Amino acid sequence: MPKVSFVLPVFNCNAWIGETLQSLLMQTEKDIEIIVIDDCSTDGTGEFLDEWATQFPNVKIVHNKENLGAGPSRNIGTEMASSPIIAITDGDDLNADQRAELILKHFELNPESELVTFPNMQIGYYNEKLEEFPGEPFNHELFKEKGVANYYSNPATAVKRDSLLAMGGFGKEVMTEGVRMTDDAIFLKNWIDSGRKVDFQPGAIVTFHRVLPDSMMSKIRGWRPEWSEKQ
Amino acid sequence: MSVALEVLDSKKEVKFEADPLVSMIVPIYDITPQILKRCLLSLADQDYENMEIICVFDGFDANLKPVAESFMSKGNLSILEIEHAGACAARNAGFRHSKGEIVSFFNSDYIAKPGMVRNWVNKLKDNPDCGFAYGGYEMNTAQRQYYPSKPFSAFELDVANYIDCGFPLWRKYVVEWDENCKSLQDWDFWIRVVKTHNVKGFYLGRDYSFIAEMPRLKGLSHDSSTNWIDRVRYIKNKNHILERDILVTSLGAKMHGVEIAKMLDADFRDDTFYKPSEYKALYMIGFYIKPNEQGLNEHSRRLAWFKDNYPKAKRIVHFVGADIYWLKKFPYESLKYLAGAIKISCDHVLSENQSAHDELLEYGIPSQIVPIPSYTSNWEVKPLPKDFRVAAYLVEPGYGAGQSDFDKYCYEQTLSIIRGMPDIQFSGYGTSAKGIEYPNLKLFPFIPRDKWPEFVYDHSALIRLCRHDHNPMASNEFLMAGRDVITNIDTPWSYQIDTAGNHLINEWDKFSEGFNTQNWPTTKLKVIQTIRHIKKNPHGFAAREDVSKELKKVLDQQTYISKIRELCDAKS
Repeated sequence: MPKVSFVLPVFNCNAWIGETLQSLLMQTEKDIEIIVIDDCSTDGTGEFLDEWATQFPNVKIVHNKENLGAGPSRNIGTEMASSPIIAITDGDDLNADQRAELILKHFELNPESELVTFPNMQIGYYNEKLEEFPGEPFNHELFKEKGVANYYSNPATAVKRDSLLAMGGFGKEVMTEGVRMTDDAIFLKNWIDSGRKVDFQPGAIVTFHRVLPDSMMSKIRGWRPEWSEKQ
Repeated sequence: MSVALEVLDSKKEVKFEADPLVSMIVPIYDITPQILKRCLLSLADQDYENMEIICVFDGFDANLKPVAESFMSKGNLSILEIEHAGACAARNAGFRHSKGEIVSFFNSDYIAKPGMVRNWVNKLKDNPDCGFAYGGYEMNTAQRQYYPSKPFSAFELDVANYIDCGFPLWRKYVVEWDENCKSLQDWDFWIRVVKTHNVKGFYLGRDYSFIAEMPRLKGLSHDSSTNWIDRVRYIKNKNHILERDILVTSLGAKMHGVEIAKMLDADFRDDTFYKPSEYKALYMIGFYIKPNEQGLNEHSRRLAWFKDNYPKAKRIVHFVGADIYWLKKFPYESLKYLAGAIKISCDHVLSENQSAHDELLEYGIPSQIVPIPSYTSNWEVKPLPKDFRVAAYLVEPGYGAGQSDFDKYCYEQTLSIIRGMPDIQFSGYGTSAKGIEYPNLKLFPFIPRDKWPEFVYDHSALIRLCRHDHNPMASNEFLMAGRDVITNIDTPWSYQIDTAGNHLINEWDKFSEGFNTQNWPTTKLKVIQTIRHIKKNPHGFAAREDVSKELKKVLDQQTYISKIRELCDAKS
């Protein structure tokens, strides 16, 4: 049984998925599995995965029959996962070599912990550094009162599989009053509402989060204060 | 304990090689005592022990002898006196007297920089494939001009000298100085060193070794410019160097200039010491001048130099590569001055293909289309390699050696493609192909010209992203070898990646902002899809053969050579 499962949903990610997979294959902790859910890509992502990624025994590929969105795709991956810890991953991000190692260390030292988020860095097209987010411990009171997250990075988060399943997994993103509520924003809200905690490990940046100008993620961040205040 | 033992063992293996004896042979004639003292002091102060200084008096001089004698107590200095017969005779006499394994014929008006001899010896020992070492030097003038010299090329040494007589060589390679030589004797000396012993020189770089006085009125070179043509002819005839009728020069594309000169059987010079000559044509490859505060005056001035120095020669300018990129950056108004200067100063203006021609015409510069062929004439369609492998040109933008002064070759974009395709093996070539560790990338920082065809045949395709170019040679060579090319530059028979919906108006070639990065994810995806498509669906042999034949017709060496020769002879 692998120790950590990286679950990444991909949709039309052919330009970036190669780098992302490479960063996972180069993890210092080798006892991992990588589950890629191809959400009906039309740009050759699926063919690339089938032709190249299948040579690695720890990479599992799923092709959705219809486009489900990131949240439901993550849930499919979570169901499939055979390890107790799910590392949430995006198809265009890079992961630090030590990400799995650091996740394992956290849960080993904090057996009661269910979810942990790490610092992250935003990078651009050419992997150039855009901004560093060192992060800080999650302020649960603030979130409960105002719905504002002081720091939380979904693609730098790892969660216990059982807790994730018990909570019902990720939601499907919704549009409310012209503003998109992303699957991870819904997830975070449900997670806190269910009385669970967000832990934080300072120090090492584990995820290099790619910001693309036409990516919805870079325009609206569900947990960003400025977005929440608009609500 | 075991660690300490290892250290002891490794110490045993260290070989203590004795420093070789260096002979500094200093011919002395008609200089002031101050200058001689300055020279000998700079040699006595060298931090190199195993050195002898041989002062050769080219005729007795009562003023200077005591200066030399005063140094005898300070080190291994000997004094020799011959009847006045010129510097070459003095050098020969000094050499016969000397014992050094390394020899330098160091002029008495030179000042050695601290550490010069030590540096020379180290470089000669570290580069056993080189017979001598040379580099730049500084002039003792108010402006402290300096001559940087240039990397070794035997071909260029046939055209003009770029190695000063003072630089060191191994004793076994020393040739007799020609005592009948009226001037340019150092050129003659180095030509014979290179030809007799078939050795090359190690280029010490632009950093100067010593400071030299400007040529003296009484020195050998003082009247050399008046009879320049005759004196050059004397050296060439003596050394069986053919006189060539065309001079190729280059502003910014030296490598190409040299290869083109070889193809045309012409001389090549890239320095700006214009001397009288009898060339019938001056052929300038590239017109690579960036905008600066002087605006276009720089262009016009260069052209004026050529006109002034080669009044009888035909003057031909060939716009290549990214030349036109920089023209785009000048204010449109001022381009009129350039167009005018070109009209007055040039007999022919050439461009590489239709798009270059059209672009030049936009700036008011009419041109003739003359494609420059590959320097390799025998490209043929060979079977594709067993494993699919893509070549990528890696040149970083920057001002270091081998870097490009602007991001001509889309460095970050090319790396991003390589990272994005772990399923494809790449070979990065070019000056920046070093220090990158990707599992799917092999690095080739330098490929000598004679190994280039082999490199091309080892690949199935070339990816060439460029900010601005016309008729890129590498692309054509890959196509002639029956390989595929993926590029954003208008290249017939290649897989064209449009960067903004229209490859003729290259969106990457924006004036101020550099790349149009908005489009990069789309462009990257197109490149990735294209490369995978090529891997799965390679062209058949016949189709590749057709492309190669067509291209070889357009880029035929003989056609090109006759065209250029015809232009050189044509009446303007």
